Amino acid sequence: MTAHDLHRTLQRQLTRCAIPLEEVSDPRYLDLLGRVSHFYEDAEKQRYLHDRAFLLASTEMQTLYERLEQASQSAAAVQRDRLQAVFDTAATGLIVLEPDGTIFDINDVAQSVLGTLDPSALHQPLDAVLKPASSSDHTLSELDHAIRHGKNWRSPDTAVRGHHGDTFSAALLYRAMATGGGVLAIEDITERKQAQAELLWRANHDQLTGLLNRAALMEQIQRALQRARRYEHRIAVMFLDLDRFKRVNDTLGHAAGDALLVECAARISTVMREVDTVARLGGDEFVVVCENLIQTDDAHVIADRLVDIIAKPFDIGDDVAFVDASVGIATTDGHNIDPDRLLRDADVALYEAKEHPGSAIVVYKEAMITRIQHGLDLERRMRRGLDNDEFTVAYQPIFRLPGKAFVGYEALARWTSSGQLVPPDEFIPVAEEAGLLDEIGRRVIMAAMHFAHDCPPGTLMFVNVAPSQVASPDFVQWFDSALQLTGADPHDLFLEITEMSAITDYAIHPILGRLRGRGARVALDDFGVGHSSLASLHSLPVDLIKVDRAFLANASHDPRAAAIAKMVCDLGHQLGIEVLAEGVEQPEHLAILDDIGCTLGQGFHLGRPADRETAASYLP
Amino acid sequence: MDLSALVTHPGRSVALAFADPLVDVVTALDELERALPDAAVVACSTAGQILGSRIDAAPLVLSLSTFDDAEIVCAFAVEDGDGSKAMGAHLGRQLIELAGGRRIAGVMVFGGGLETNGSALVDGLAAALPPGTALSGGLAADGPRFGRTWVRCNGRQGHDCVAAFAVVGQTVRFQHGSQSGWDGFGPVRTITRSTGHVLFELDGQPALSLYKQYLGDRAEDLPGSALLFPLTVQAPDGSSAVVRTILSVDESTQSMTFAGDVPQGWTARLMWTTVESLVEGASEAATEASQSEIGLAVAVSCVGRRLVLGHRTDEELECVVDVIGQQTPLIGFYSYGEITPVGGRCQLHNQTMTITTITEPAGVPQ
Repeated sequence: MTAHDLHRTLQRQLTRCAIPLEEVSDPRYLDLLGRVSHFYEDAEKQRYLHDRAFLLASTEMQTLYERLEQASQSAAAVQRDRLQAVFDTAATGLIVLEPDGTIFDINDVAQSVLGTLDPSALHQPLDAVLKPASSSDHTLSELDHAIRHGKNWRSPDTAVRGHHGDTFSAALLYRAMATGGGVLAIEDITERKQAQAELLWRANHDQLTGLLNRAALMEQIQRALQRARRYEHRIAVMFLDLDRFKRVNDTLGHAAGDALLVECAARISTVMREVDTVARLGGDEFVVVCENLIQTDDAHVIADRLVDIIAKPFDIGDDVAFVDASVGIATTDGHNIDPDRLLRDADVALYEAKEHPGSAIVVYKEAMITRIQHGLDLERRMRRGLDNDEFTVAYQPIFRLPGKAFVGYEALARWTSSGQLVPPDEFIPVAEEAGLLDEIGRRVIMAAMHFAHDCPPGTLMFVNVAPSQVASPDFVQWFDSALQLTGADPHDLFLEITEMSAITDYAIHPILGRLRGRGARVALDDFGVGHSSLASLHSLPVDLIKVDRAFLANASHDPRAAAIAKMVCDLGHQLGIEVLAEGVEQPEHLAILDDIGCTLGQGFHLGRPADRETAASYLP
Repeated sequence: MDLSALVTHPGRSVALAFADPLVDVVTALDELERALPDAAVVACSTAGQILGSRIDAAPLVLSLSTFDDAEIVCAFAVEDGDGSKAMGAHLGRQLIELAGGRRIAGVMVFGGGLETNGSALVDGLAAALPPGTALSGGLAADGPRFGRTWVRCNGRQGHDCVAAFAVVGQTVRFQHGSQSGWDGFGPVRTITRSTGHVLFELDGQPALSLYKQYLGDRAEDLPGSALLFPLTVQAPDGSSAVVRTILSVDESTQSMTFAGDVPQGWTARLMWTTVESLVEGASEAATEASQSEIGLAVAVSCVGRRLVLGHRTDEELECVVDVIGQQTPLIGFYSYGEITPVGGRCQLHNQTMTITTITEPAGVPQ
């Protein structure tokens, strides 16, 4: 390298320093100057490269910035359009507020809610259009405070006075903006509140009568119990249902039944005090809760009033209907502190009242639940008994009087459980309640038919049937099959049905008619126990009357009972209906029957029920 | 000089040789291996041979290290079509087997500079070695030409292969340092199209066009001149920022091949530097790698740095020597990619000065 190869800048610097290039020939200086020259060259190249890169990068950044700015402006415009569209189409009233609380903008919904506004309302204070319904309500003052302090705020329900002075309920929500001011959302919730109140009412009330329903009743009992504990008084829960209501429905129609229930609810309410609770659980079941009772008898007095007022005739359109009320009462005496338990006890007492005709009002006692439990135990044993063939049939002879000529038998169900004979009075009601009576009854009828087939022709066979059994959809078909299977002559069969059932259950009348059409006859059992009119006998599908044992028992010492029994016999004869006396247990009963002209009888004096082999001894 | 006299025990010596790719050194290396039958000889081509603070002092520079207790095992693998990761894994398994269950104090690896995907090589090798094994080295180079590189290990030599040696011993310590001295500039771009280490598009535009625009007249010197603007690439979650330098360009596909992966979806940014920054970076790397009684220091610096440093390349080596000491043996080369652990994870880097120092405290290597 020579000095002339050095970088131009270095050459100029050497010249300015008065060092002629020709004089720079020392290799050591040349090496140094060469290195400096390389540094100049490298630095120049690098600076050129960096300058160019810097310029390009700057251009790129500027382009990017411009694109970003355009995109940002475009996005902002889109955002503004969207917000305006949301503002204009929102289903909620919206008011945009300045930081000082004046109105910047208001959408159509808000104007509609507040009443049409004068355009000059814009830029006016918010309280120019939104006022409290009551001057004592400071809710809107809180809103004003929130606006002025840039805080979010809400009120779910505020009574507001609109532009035209009308008041309404409004939900208010204020959202403060970070940049100052905010948006107030306003929604007229008057209709929603009414709808909610309506829903709440429906959730707690019976639609037909307007009384409380079960859910509301349970809450009321709970609250009543709390008050009773706090103030140390008693409450009573009365479970009430209507006797013979089904008959009203069946005869007059469901609309009439509903009208009767509405009238019942009204009558019950008139008897009760303001503090008491009246509810309908469904069907013909009502519950009354009485508070502030001094003693249990107070509840009884109220129940008496209820029974009396229900017993009065109901005018249903052109008809008049009669129903009675049965009432079960449970009080907070003892340990009844749970609403469910209290209601259950009242229900148990009501069941007891229904089970014992003549006892319209029953107060709950512990023994009742024990009886129910006994019934459940009996039912379990009965089901097992059916599986184990514990049910048998006894046959009691029937004689024509006065000569005591044997005419036939009454087939009676017998149940021996664990070696003990269970009385029919005990198991028959439970079997009916548990739906087992049909099964037991069919077994008895089938056995009786077999026996009847084996007896000499003309030997009568009485069998008992329950109304529920007769009403069973397949009973007639089953009866036909049984006749075919056993070969029994239907003309020898008497189907005994209780007087009460025959009178009250019109639905079974046509079924009894079909059975009679096959040759079987119908006997009216336990005659005289119910309230049937003698005059109605001619309209019943009946071939024979069985007079209840009570008449014969009383006739020996009560001339009036004897007179009634005679009248029944006479009437029967006049209608062509035979009369059979039950309960012939004393020798003197035969004389009484002779006097009143009763020509058929059965009872211990004439012959006790016995198994088939023993009973067969009566056959000729 | 009788080199074999320095090898006192078989299997305890390693000779590192770095050579000018334009000079035929095969004969010299053959003779060296004959002279050192009990030593491992590992060599590769360069973009500049480093010996002390001097660059290109000779076409072939050589170091011979002998350990008192530690042993040397070496391995060689050829790309057989399964890719660089599989090659790295194969290499690692060889070293493990040769170590026979003994502790591997550190591994140095040298790969073909053009055919090897350095990132994949490191992933495969690191996965095969015991976790935490010190791993460093670099990719062979062909000056600024990017034409043909080679790697050699005990007589086996090739361009698409990889050589490594491991120091097996309880007391030997490896220390690493790596710095770049480069800074990002201009917009952050998104890699919108790439495959492995081949980049097609940035922000939907051909990457090669962008480079040509920035290089101006110096675009004529591609691919070498692209080293002036390496890329820093970063995962979308902001982690794993690495520097990538170019190996080749393909005008037909407007693509650029880098020494490591440039994953699609990652961000990329052009980088620039100054001589002063590079020199400062080299000094910092040396400081990181410093330890007491260094037996051998191996410097692997990027060819891109040399392009920028130009006539002042010596300055970054002088700075390294200033830090590690004039008496510390320093050998190395300018490469197409540097391998070193950073933040506990071994990766391929570009545009860095990486320094590996090896010390055997009980008996310092000769």
